[in-house]
Amino acid sequence: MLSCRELHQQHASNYLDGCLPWRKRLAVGMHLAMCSACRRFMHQLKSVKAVLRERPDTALPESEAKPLAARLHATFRQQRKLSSGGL
Amino acid sequence: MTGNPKSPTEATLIQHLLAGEQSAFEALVKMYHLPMKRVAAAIVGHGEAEEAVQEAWLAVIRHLPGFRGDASLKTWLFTIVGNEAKSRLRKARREVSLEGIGDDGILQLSNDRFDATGHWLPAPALWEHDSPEGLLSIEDFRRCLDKVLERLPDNQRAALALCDMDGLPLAEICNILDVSASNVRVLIHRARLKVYDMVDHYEETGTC
Repeated sequence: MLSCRELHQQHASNYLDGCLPWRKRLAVGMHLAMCSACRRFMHQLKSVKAVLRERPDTALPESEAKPLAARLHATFRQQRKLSSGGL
Repeated sequence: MTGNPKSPTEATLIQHLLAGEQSAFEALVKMYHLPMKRVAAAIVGHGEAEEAVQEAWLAVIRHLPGFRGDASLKTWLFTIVGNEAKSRLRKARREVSLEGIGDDGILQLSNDRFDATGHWLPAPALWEHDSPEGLLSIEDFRRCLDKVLERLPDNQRAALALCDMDGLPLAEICNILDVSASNVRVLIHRARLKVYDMVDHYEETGTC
């Protein structure tokens, strides 16, 4: 019988991400059916995953993005000129 | 390589890039520079990550005209920066080993949550806010989240971000980071448990 500690430390994320082989998945499912503490933990871990998914990613500040983009743009145009045989 | 079909926004961005529009280059850099740096940091460490990304951008520009969209733009960019970072490691003749899964602190900490028979001690407390929108609307919480993510070992942060923030399948994460599937799963789980512990503590005390 799977313990709460094993579920927490070894199987929780794999269960959430659908990465467990079926026997282990069944064992976790049976444990969850009987253990309200682990059901709450799994629900909360799922919330953590959702928080991370919905967290807005930090964008590169304008002051750094503009010069880098300008450099890449110039390189791209230069490269295209060369490949089309232009000057 | 597997990849998501291009979204309309992504297809439009690529079109504008190929048309040579400067605003498209700005959008590309704004959107992907920091996530690419996160991938590079997992491989070469924080100190060399910026240089690796700068090199990767040049490779992106070089190969852009040939981009066929077999993989999503995000996967393509992450693969390029991953390869660049790995190549820097090889050139420096250092061993490419991302297989280390970081500290074991979390398991030590988590052991305190269980009794000798492996039962919760005590059971997880009910969270007042457990919707992502509710939590993310609190400025203090967002700061705590940034802090816990910053403190993760580079490889754990990258694996977690590629999985939970960027939504990449495990097989692609393994390719990009050059880590076995079992270790990627451990990296993700350890990182996720650290974020869980922070959220749990925040719910209880209102602080990180």
